Amino acid sequence: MKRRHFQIKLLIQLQRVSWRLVLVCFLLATVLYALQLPIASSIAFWSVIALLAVILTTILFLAEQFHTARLYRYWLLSYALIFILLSTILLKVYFTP
Amino acid sequence: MPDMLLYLLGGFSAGLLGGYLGLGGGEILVPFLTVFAGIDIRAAVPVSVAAVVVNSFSASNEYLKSGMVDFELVIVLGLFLTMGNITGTNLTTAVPADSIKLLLTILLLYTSFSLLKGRATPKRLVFSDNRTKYLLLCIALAFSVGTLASLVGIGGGVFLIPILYLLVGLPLTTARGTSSLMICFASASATAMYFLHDMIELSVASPVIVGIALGGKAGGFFGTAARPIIIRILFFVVMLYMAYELARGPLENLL
Repeated sequence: MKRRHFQIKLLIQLQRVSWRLVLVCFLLATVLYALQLPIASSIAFWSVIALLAVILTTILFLAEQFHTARLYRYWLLSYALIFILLSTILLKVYFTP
Repeated sequence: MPDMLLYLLGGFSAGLLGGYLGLGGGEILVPFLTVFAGIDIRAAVPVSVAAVVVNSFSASNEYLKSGMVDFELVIVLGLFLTMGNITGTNLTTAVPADSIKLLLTILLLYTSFSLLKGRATPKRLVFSDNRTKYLLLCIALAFSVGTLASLVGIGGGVFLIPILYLLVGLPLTTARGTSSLMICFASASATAMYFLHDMIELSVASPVIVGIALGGKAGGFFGTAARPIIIRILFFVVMLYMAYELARGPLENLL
């Protein structure tokens, strides 16, 4: 494995920051739900979106690491994973009766 | 408000015990929400899957720091785990709730008995890196684990770690790290599916996610310490009680 090409530290940093961001979003939603404010559901909704966006960014980051390391097979598989995730979402949104 | 505290407590306990005992948390969370909070299993499963994403995301970060993640396996097996997860979420509406409860009961019993036995490391089937030799088998297993996991609301680490350790031949810590990042990606797909189906009860998911995130951190901190037999017995009894409560209804309907 061409690990030396992988920017693990950057990935760790990205994960740490995004994890805190997502946690703060859900914490805010929880407090708003406890106060029974109607905006809570909207905050929770966007928190889930943020969580999914964070995971997608992580996969994208990993895919580019494979590309930099010239591990093209895994780079393609990473994009296949992203494609499956996105296509499932798009199919559900646009083609489910 | 009391409900919110209960959900927060449920998430925290799942994260704490999961981190402490080396589980993802879903095995504890779904029975907790069903038995103690009185939530229908079909509503508890999506909440648990979303919570598992956050918990495994945090856990994978810890493993990344120590370089205990095999990225190639994450992508290859993660792809099929994701496909399995998507299949499982589509099956959720088709499979009767009683069957999901019985499946979860079997899983609970398996987990509780293996935890009671302790940490004895099982003997490996292989002694070298056999990812290419057993690739097709691993892919099939990852797909099956993914389907089952999203159906009952767990991450699937309880099956994935033995596959990576016993079959592929990864060191145990690397198997844990690899499985947590894999679960994080795959559970995200299941979360997206449940979210699009409007099956995630956000007022329950928010406190549960906060609880599991905080509990997971605390559990990871205590997880390095020895696990006294008394805690394992206590956990075993609680798990047995939850398994009994889960199985009671479906078995009564069956008989």
